[in-house]
Amino acid sequence: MSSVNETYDIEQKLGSLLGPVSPQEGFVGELQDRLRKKAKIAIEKPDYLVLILLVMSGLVFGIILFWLFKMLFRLLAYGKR
Amino acid sequence: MDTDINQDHENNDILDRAINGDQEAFSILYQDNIQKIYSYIYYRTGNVKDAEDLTARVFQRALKHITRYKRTKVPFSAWLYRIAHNLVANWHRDSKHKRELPLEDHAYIQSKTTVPEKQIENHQQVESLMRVIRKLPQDRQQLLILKYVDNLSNREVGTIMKKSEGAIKSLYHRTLKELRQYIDEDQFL
Repeated sequence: MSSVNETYDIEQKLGSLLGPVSPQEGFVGELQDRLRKKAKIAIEKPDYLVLILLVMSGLVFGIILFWLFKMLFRLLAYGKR
Repeated sequence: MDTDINQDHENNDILDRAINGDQEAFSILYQDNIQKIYSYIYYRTGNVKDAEDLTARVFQRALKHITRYKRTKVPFSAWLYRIAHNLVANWHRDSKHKRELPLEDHAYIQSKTTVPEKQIENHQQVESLMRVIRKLPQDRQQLLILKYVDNLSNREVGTIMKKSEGAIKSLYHRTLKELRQYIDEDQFL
């Protein structure tokens, strides 16, 4: 028997017996309501771009501050000499 | 055969609105996909209670992460199937959920016959067939359900299962051969 014939009857059986299943109407409506309510009370996520900009500006500010202090100490050390 | 996934392309506007947080647009997507996802999960779990629970979780997860969904990568329905597959896989990992498919749970199957006696007979045959299908590895069960319950093409199944069309074709033939063996061993089919 060829492999096509071997599996043909199985394909027929699968095709005739398996079909879509309908969920209960009550379930479909109830889930839709739950999803709507959930969407309304959804907590807003933080804006990551703002967060990144804040961190970056903090970093730049820190570097400038460090550089200023370094210059200040250098000037003070030069003044002592 | 590509109707379901092609519809996703036609509904780009709805999808874009849903991604931007439009609740009504998400409701349309929900209505379009609820039966497909429920059917898939129902056949993978075998009972209404878990199918409803997991279907709810699929859509809750989709709603939560829809802003991260990239329209160009996979069609929306394929994205939902992937979420469903992950949840079902987790469910199967928990061995306590493994149980036989009860006949009464088939009440909502869209039977292909209208005669009551025939329907009961049909339900018993579905039950026997599903008992045999559940002996197959998870990926093979998934393939058969996507092809026969949700009527998806090899290409669509490949998109969902992250495999090429050729790989799906080959897996499908191996699956049928394995199923043939199990059916031959089963006295009820």
